[in-house]
Amino acid sequence: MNISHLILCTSLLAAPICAAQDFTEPEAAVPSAASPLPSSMAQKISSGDFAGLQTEIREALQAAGEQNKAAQKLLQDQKYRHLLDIHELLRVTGPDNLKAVFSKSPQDAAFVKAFLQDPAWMELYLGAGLIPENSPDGIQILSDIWKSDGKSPDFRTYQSLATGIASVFSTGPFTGKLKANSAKCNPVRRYQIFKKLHQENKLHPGFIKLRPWEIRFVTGIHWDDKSYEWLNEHINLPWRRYTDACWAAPYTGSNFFGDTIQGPLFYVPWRDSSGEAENTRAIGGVCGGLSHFGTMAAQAHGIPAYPVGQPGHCAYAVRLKRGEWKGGFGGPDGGMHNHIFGSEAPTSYLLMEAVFADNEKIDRAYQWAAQARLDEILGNTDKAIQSWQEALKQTPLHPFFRTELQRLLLEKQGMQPIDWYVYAKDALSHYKGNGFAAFNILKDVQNKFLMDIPAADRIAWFRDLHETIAATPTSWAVKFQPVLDSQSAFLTTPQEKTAYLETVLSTHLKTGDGTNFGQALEWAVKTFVENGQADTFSTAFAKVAQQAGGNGASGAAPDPKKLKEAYGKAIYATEVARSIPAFQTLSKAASSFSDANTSSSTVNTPVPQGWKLVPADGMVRCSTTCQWDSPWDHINLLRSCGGSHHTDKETNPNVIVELKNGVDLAGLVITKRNGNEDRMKKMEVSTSTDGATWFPLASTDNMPKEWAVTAPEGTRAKWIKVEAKNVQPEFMHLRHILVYEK
Amino acid sequence: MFYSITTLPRLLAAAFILAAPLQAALPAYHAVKDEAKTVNKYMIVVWAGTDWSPKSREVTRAAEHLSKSSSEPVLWCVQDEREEMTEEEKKLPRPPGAIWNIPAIQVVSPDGHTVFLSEGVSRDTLPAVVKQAVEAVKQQNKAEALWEKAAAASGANAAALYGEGLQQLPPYAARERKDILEKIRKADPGDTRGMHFKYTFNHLPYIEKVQRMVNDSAKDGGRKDYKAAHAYVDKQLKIPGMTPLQKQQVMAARFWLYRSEGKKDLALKTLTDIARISPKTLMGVGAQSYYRYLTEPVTLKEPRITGYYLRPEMTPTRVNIADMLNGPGTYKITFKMNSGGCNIRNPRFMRGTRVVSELPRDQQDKNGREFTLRLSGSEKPDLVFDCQGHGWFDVDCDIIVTKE
Repeated sequence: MNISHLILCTSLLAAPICAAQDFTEPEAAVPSAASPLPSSMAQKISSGDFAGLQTEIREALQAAGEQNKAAQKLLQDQKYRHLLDIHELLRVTGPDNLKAVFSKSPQDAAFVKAFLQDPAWMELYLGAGLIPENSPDGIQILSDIWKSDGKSPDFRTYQSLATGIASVFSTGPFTGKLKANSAKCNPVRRYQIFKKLHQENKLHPGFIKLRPWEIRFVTGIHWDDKSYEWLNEHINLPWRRYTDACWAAPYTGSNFFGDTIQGPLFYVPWRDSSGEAENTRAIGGVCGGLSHFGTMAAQAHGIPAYPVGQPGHCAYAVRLKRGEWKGGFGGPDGGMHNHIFGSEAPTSYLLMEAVFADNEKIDRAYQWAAQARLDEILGNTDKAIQSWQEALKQTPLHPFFRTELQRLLLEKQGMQPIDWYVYAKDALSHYKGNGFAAFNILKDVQNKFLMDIPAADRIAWFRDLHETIAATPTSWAVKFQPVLDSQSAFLTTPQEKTAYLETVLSTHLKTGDGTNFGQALEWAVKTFVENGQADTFSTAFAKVAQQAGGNGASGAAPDPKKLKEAYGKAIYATEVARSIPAFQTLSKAASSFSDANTSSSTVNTPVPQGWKLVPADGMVRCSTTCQWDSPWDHINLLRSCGGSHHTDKETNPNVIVELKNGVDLAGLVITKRNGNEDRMKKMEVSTSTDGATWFPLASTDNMPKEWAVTAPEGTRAKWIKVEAKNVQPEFMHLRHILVYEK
Repeated sequence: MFYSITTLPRLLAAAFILAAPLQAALPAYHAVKDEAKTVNKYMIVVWAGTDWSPKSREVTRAAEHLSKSSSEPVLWCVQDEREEMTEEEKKLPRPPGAIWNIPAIQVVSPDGHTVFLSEGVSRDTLPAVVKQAVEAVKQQNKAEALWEKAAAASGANAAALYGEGLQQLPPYAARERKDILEKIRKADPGDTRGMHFKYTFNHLPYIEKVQRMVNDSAKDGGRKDYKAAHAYVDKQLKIPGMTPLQKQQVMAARFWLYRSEGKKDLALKTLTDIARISPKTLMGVGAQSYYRYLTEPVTLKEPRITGYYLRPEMTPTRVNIADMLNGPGTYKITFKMNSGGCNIRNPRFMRGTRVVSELPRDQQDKNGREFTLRLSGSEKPDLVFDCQGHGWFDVDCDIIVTKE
């Protein structure tokens, strides 16, 4: 007896199979993958008895499950899956809410009937990434789209588009803004615009293959719908160049009437005559407006994109291939405005891409998730746990699924600390390349075992976790401190703290681009040095320095050469991590390695009266380092005594000075290091107030040994970039970047 | 046998080649730019993206066709911005300027200046655009003749001739001629003809400068000095030869000054003046709309306030609430803030301009979220209240009227 047969044979399903017309109202499209439902269920759908339908389906599924214990087999049966999809849809939407949509009009009722007859479409909806937290709204939006286009013969081609739009307009970070701007942001209109653009061959060829979770990143901006059309018509670039599209609009802080962009009036004079994209192109904006413009320009061509917040700045990111997000205006890192699993780029989008990488697997995973929820509702926790485990076999990193599994494991009780430890170790093994996700998902789990295992195992667990984190692509925007704060709460003795710090620093010194190492240093400075425990820090750091040479901890006094080398790496890491406090502390600690006499001046250029040297309390960020670099001397670039740095060979090597506070810039004196001065010829200096938008200040085709630059009146700056413009890659090494304020 | 198999396709191929129309592709820009300089010819550059833009392929084919039938002494070429380009290709010399809407037609002079640019060209618009491009070359020749005369003249006259030459070019092309602007500056350092101003004026730095003049005057804690800034604006307005748009842009600074001083009437009058100069420019359209925004009462489409409806000053705001009224009685009016906030006061029931019911006088200037109004008749008046935005005008507020 197969499962379909079984379902049909239960007493509830004894009635004859519904006639096709029950499901094919004149306005209903015939779903190609429809499986006929038992007539009693069909009647309940026709009468809008969704509570009754839910009960009946649940009983049918339960009966099927009792007859055939192998859920795997059940899920392979189309009819079983169809009922499971309806069950899951009713669970997330609520029978009453579905009835509310159904009762709105005969057309809405026809949609509900058509939708419930289309398991493939329901699965697209249920697997759209975010849990349909607001499914009543999502279903209503789908209904509205279906009413406008459901009769089209090609509607199925655009089901993913429709479903993604329903998802982004009902659930997730942009929903509120889209609703608040509902007069101009209409999901049906947006669907029609994209369908038309696709039919006219005006979108990226990959658009039509996008799944609903990706459509979120194409259709979900809160600017007006017409701006999509306008941008498709007026901004047309090679796909790879949409990361520059923001620069089609002028960067300005004031509009033509003197209203600031930092207020509500900037676009008011033109808001009724043109859309937001057109206004931004004509009037301009700052990073926020320009990044939204760039984001939407990419989206308007069917390319996923998101705006991203950064400290004092807004940027964006564009995706041409799955998994490859490229930054525009200083992106892709920062706080993603639109997201599915967390908002910290890059780690959040890496997780998202990993979870959804394989269409077939993720579809199967969502089927198992629906099964798990049914199992739980039916009171079978063990079976639900198994189903979640099956879901996670398909996509081990899905955070919602793992959260559910862990919740059930916790509720079930009986797991001993050692069981949790084994579970955590096994889970961690799946997270290579997604270490931060591992930390987030396992932080509650580790509470269950960390205090019950020996201190050495505790440190070993932290090491495993940090090794996974260290192998994860990250950026300055991903905050590492919460990991360290959370873990250090489990450390009880000073010895353990030292061992922990040593583990963390050595792991991230060995692996990664220095970002985590820099942030760990910043955390260590704040936690230990600034709290009277400088010895703990020094001891751990010295041991790390010793190990860095490859000999391991010997217990002997640190080798000064290795210590110097470690400080060099550490200071450069603080630059990568953009941590002023860590840069300052480590530069101070490493000052003995510098030959500079900080009380003398090595500049000959006379400084105009009224110019005041900005103190060296900010930081210096060099684009690259190399074996001839001396990071402990970077800070002295900002002092009259002079310091030194040495980049690797680059086409555009640069040094960015980040001041502690913004200043009214008077000018700069930039000097070359002695020797090989001819390496630096064509040079450019620019300034910024947000660290991402650069305004040219001066340039030269042949930089003199000492180059004095006077800033025009009104120049504000917190960041100053000195950059070489080479034809061929070349080194850059400066002695001074002296910044003067008025 | 072998002979016949290999020969037949060859013969067919030869026949096909001979029969097909000549389809010589346009040369690349980098391949003709040096020749253009040598033979002193302008280049018509077709900006395309042949591997990503179907429209580009159409336009390029059409341009190739036009180039063959054109008798104009220009060099046709293509700047193909393909999706897939090698690093070497990306480094090849490119035409000047930034293009945001491909396909585009650009005319580049033998010495590398943009003479004409039209973006977002289609196959249908191409013939007309090419006609304009050819016309632009003729205009450029006129400009060159004027500049030759200018070179022989001196002082303000020379500047005027240089300026007249620039006037032959599209504004975006004229502004890019830094070499001619430098000659104008040298010939007429005082800019008595306004020619330098005309082609270098940038309204955004300008208005920021005016703002800075005012703000800096109060840097040391004193009062803001508007006089100097007004004098500066007045002086700018006297510069001869300004375009209507430039005049509007300069006057926008005057609007800002009046508004900052609190001289609302003069500020509004300035908006009217700006619109009158040329109502259809971006400034003219903006000035009219801004005037309405600052002066007209607001009518809500539904009992819901969003940021769109807020104004910087207390503004009468009207909404139809007929659905929520049910005969005589006392009505509670609630402004339910779902997010953000705004100032609300003095709600009243009104029919047209007639006040049907209002708060006692001593309560009319008090901001609030809940109010009570009495309605004695069975008529269904509108609800009118005074409303003012603050901060970013970020608000989502439902208006709920219930009978007590």
